[in-house]
Amino acid sequence: MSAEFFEDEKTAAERDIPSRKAFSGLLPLLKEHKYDLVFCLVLLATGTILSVYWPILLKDAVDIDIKSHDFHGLLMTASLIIIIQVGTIVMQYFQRIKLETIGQAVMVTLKRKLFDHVLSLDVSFFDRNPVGRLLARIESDTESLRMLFTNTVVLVVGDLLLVAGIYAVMFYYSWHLASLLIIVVPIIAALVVIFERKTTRRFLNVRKKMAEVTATLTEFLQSMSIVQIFHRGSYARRRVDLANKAKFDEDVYVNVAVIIFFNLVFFFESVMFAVVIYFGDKWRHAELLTSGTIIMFIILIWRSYDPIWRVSEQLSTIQKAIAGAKRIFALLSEPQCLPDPEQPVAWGGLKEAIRFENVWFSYTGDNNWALKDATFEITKGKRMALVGVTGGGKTTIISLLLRLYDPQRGRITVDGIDIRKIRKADLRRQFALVLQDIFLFPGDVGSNISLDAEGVDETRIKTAAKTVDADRFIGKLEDGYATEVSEKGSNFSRGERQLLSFARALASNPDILLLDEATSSVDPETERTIQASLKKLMSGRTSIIVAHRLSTILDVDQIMVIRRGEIIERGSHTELILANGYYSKLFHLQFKHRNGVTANAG
Amino acid sequence: MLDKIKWFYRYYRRYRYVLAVLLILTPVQVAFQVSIPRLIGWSIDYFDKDTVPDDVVAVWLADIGASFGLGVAATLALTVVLFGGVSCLLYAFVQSHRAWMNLRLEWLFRQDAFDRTTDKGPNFFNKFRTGDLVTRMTDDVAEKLSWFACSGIFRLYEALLLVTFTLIMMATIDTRLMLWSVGPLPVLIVIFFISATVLDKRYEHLQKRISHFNDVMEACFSGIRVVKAYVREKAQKASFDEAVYDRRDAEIATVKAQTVVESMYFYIWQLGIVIVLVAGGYMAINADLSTGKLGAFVYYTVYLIFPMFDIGQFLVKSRQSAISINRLVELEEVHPMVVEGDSEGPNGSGGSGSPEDSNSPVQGGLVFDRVEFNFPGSPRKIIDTISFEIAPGQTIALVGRVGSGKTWLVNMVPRLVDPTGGTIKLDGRDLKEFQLEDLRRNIGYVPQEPALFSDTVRNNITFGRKEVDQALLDWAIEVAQLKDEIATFPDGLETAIGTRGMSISGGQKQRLALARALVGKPRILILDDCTSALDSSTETALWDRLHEVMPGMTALLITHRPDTLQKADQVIVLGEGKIVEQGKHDQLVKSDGEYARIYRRYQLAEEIGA
Repeated sequence: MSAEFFEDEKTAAERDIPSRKAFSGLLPLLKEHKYDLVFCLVLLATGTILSVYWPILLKDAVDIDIKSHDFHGLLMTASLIIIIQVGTIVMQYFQRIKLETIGQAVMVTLKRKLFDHVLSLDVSFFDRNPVGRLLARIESDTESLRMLFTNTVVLVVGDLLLVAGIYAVMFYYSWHLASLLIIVVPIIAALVVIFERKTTRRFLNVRKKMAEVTATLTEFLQSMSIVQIFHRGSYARRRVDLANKAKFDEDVYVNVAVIIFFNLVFFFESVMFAVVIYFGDKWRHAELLTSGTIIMFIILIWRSYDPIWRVSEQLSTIQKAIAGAKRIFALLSEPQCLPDPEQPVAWGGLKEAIRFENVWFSYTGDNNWALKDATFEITKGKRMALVGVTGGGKTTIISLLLRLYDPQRGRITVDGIDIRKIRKADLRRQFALVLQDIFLFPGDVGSNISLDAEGVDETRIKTAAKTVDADRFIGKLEDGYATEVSEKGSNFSRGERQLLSFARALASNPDILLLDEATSSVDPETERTIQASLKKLMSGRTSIIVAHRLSTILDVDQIMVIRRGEIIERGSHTELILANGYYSKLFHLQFKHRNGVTANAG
Repeated sequence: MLDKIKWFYRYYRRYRYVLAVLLILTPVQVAFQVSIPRLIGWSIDYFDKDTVPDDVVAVWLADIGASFGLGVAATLALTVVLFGGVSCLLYAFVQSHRAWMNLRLEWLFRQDAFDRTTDKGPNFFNKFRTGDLVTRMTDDVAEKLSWFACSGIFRLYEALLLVTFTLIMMATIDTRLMLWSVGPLPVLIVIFFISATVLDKRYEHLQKRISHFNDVMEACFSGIRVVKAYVREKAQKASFDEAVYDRRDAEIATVKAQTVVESMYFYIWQLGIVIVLVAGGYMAINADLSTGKLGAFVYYTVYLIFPMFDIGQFLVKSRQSAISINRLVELEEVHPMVVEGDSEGPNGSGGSGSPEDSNSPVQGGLVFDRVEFNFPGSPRKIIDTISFEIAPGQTIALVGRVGSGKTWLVNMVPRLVDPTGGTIKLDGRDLKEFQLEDLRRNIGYVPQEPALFSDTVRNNITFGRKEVDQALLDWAIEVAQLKDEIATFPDGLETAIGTRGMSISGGQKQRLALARALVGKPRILILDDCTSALDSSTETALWDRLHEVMPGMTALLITHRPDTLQKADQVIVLGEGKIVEQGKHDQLVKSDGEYARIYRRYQLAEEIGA
């Protein structure tokens, strides 16, 4: 994720948030650190004042020490200058570090807040927002805010003070000269405003155009074989060329504008020198302008241009930060759709049955039903298999049971209690979910089995692993349970990952097992181990399994056949085969030749 | 090193004018810039002693000024403004050219890199993932290479000129003092090298922490279902906290190191001024040096220090750019798998087709003669000696399990890849004898994954082909069962689809891909399982229509539709790169072999609606 994630689409929420509101929402975070901030500002002010002081000493060195041929005095002055310079640098170091520490602290608080909030949102939010976008929010948007904070503070306070200090000294030594020189300040300010107005939009455009270049490149590179088959290489090249040109045009404009702006501003530096020379000559008899003073003026003028460098860098930072702040604020105000009930009913485990009562559910909230009028019951201790073709609605049933979504119509009950009346955490703790492929988190094997749950200690982890026969291959690993899991779990085979997911389920000691069987096959040896482990996992436990294995459907108490969101058949395997309906056909297609076992049943 | 310069020169050659501007004007601009401290020095001396400084040029300037009726101070002031103005003007001119060149090079580097990929074969795209390619063409090109290619090199040039001219100026004032001013420079260079190592390490550490931080978040959000199902929110927060604190600490450590380095840099120029002050002051006290000259020296000291930044930058960035150049050159090292007119190539039959032949209409008769195919570097035969014939206008259905080689087989017809053994002939001529463009113009191909682009519906169908007229377009749309739907699109044919346009359904995408293939009125139609996303009624209507138009074309269909299989002139069953069975549907079913088994499964699947 080092590449910047640029968004040119805004959600309705973001569009309506004014910058002020976004920033004031985040201001309280600074209040915590107000003493540190004040300390910083004091250091900053002192440092700035000192940095204006040593040019004065320099002037004295020239006017006094050198004029009076006092080398010893010169050395003293020079030493004093060095001490002040070093002192300033040291002070600036501490100020900078302090500022950075404050900025980091604020950002850490903000990031934790964001993460907390996002974690509490419902699965439907994650369906709508790709992970990349969320990472960009919590990562890059907070970063641009932090840069704004640490850099703008320096800019606003430090540089204003610097310029003010410089002009104060200049006024002190020659208010005639200084009043002429200060005319430049409003001129430059005006130039900055004009410049900003003309270029801000273009700055953003450059980023947009670059995003388009990236998008165009990606598109064509992904589909190059089609481009070649149709022999449309020239078309692809032309499209990329156009995108390149568009970005080039915007970028050239912006770059040249910046160059012209800067050089114009620096031209004024020469003008200021000229003013000092000409008017300094005119007025020196009136004001006793010495050569030392002239040197000092030159140095001061030249220091006063430092801030100009910084301003331009800040412009794009400020833009980015404002946009970032708005997005962060929008994210923090994202509502939860499945709130926990005010007065939750306690439920400590299944005693009787799970029931679906006329449940209708659509992922998109419209008439695109994933489940239609689903009504069924699973009694405690019974095992049920869900079968059907892909996209029929089987996984939906599991998601609804876990209350990852709420149905639009009907209700789901456990022991007669509507699951919406139970706290989500309490409800989910009674289930164990096993997906087609285990989802692995950064960490070691042990913590992936326990998922760092309290109450799942090493003994339980090892017992769970042993029961499902996963301990054998874990034992063969160099670091055993402490072996780090690589990204996407690529250091384990499919079969091993299945066993790990069983171990995870078992370790949490669930009341109810929810299992989505893998569709891909493994070698017969591993398959036997998996089947045996599954049997152990399921024994005596209420289970709902999206079945793809022959051994599973032969083992369960009930089978439900789901097609296009409807439950069309139910019964035991033998009953359904005898009925010679849809199930019978499905069985022959999906199960008969699976896993190297040819079924003779039915 | 030399080959890197050669690589750059390839591009620079086209822009001699810009190169000349940069090479010639830079020293001129620096000369003007470097004169200003001198002028200021004279002004200070004039202040001090009320007479024109005893410098040939100064006297000459004063005379010119006097002839215009201007006093000495006025002349000097005016000259400063003039020189300053010219310097800024020239600098703006030079910088603009540098910026323009940077951006133009960025455009060229990227365009060239992309252009080359349009010839590369599947082995290239297997080796380099799209994301990787895009990063090389954007990050590497824009961030690292293009800036370095022009600004990097010319700012170094500018910095060296500045240092040289400054030293010369200083030497003409006082050689000894010049040696004093140069004092801090070696220190700077040492600081630079030490800091580069320390900073590098801290940056690397920080990068790792940032990556870890992102990994934790990514894992948590991608696995949100598991997190919620197992009620692991607290544990995730703990992991997050650990990662965020680690990152904060690494960031602060980096800033500390950075600030130290920056402070040292800033300090050195201030120290330099003090050194000049003391040494020059000593000389001034002994009347060896005027105050004006001292002042000028102070100013020149600064001119010496800041170019060091640019020189340091150059050294750092040159390392990065070398790496980026390598990353681009790497792309050039994989050769295209298919080359135009390759009949002289390893598997060619020798002799190329004459121009008149390419104008005669293609009939569409294909002959596969002992065709073999394996990926470069892999011994596994994806296609293992396949031979069959298709008469013009026939419809052939190809079936077989995943991995049996069907897609690669049909991909050889438009020469996406070439057979590694045997030949494929079209109308009696080896495919390699055709001009690629002529060959492909006669083929309509619909892949499994539709592969459409962010453009209008019209442009997606015509795919930039100018020979497609409205009549053809309308016909293709009608056959692909899209006519009514396009009418409901907000801008009809001009509606934009893709990343910044309307999103369309999978079924609509497949039909668009079909229209795209048909609109060229191809003699050979290749369809690779292209109607999987359609609902059954649309699918049936589509195929009915297709079967009406197909007799005019030779069709190669990879399909599992029972209806299509029945209607095909021939069915070829592939298994592990070989032909397992071949013949008409009825005959194959009767012989109750592999095909019969496969066919029964297809029937079942259709009934179930899988």
